Amino acid sequence: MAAPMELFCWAGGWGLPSVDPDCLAVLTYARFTGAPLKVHRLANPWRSPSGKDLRPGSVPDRAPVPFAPQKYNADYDLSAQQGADTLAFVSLLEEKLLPVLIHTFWVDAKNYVEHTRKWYAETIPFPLNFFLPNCMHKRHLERLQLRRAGDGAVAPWQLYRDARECLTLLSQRLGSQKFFFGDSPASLDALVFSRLAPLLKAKLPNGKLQQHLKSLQNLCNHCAAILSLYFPWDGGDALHGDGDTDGSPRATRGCPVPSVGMGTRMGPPVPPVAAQCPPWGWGCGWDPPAPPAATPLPGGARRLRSASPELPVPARLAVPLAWPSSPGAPGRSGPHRG
Amino acid sequence: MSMLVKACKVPFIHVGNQVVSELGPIVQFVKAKGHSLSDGLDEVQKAEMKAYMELVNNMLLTAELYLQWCDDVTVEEITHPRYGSPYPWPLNRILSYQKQWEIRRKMKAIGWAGKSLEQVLEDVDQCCQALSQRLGTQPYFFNKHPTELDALVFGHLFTILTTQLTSDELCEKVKNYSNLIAFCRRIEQQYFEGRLTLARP
Repeated sequence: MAAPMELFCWAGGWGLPSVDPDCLAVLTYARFTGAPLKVHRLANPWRSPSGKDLRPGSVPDRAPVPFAPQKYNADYDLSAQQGADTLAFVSLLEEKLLPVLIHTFWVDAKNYVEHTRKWYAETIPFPLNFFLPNCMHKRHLERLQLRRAGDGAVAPWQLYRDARECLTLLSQRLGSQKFFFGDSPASLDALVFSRLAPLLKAKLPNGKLQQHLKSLQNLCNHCAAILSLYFPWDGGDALHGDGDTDGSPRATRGCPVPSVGMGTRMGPPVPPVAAQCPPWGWGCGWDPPAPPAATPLPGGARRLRSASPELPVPARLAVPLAWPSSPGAPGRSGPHRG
Repeated sequence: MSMLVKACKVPFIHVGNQVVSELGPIVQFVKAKGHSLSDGLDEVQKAEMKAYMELVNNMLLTAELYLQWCDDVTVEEITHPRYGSPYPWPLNRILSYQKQWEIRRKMKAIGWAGKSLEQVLEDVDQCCQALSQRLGTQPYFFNKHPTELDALVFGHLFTILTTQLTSDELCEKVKNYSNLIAFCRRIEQQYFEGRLTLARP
């Protein structure tokens, strides 16, 4: 029996399961494939097994990594050319959209102070919340400047123009399809979702790009469909719920970059949670409720009953995605702790 | 002229009192003058074309930069002598190291600094595979007529194929894809009338 895969990622907020685009991409991809993941949502980036700190981009995340390519691969049905297209659009996103996302969330003064820093400062535990957001801000700023190193100074308006074009191209490529390659989601859908959903959901004071995105109806629908189909119960902040923690090994160091580790490799034996959590509440992360037994429909296809019945779940999913949309799902009340 | 050329990179075109540099802006500029190669494409194809152009910029270009400035053998034997050649000593050394430092910082920012040469070559292979699959048996990427994507891909692949480096690993990666080789040869023959020399096997 293989050890369970565990995913460490940033906590959720803004109506999303995770606020960090890279974490969100892996999380979404995992949901698409039905890979059994144990998810730990952290608000303290010093506690991940990989020991990687919160350096953005320390994982060059071209496409969400297939966990076990034979078993959980959302791209299994794609033709070779569709695989090539995936790679191309991933590049487009990384080159054109990512810099602007960094700029929108971390560099734009109004957005950073009133939205991003506020959220992180409220979410990261004391006393780290006093300096971590600033560190992250600096790193993002540096990352953005270095990306463009050698290209001369690129004015923000040029970045935004490129990003608007990128969004328009994505919208044209998607057209009236449900997902980018037909009726079932693939890794490209996960990546696009992870980049667009934060932009769509965050309540940014300065929402230039947001407005452009909102005018592209099919991209908005794409995000909304994925959110309601694959994250029916944890749209809200999962972190500050009713203290529902799992007794999982959140032993060593923290990491907002998604890191999938096998349980056996994961550091020292686990002390009880209570002994580990400092009084100010590092109780971070909880497990999704176990999915109910599979309810296969005739014909082998499974339908998601709880969310949007008109959207069929692709038949290749190994695990049913129909969790009960229980009202008792913890922490859906709001993104902020008090 | 010097007032016009500010922070200009090659290639640039100079029309009247305007200077336009680099592929993207030049394509835009020429399009505004009424010449476009991609007008015949529908919207989806246009989106795909732009995406593949970014693929080349993102992977092939970065890999070339990596090889040029981060592979120690190439840096010592080729890049530094060549980059410094227009300048007298000690400026040639200083400028070379300055550039090298700049590029390495950029590699760090995009997460390539920790990659080994093998991983970079693997990326090149992946990129070439994608291009090869997209091209298939067509003469150009979007069937009968060349677009700016074809120009970009030709520019990169032809350079890789015809440049002598300390090892031919990069070149070999491209040579694995026969349709890409044929594609380069076709464009060379058709548009450059054999003035360039792509070695025949």
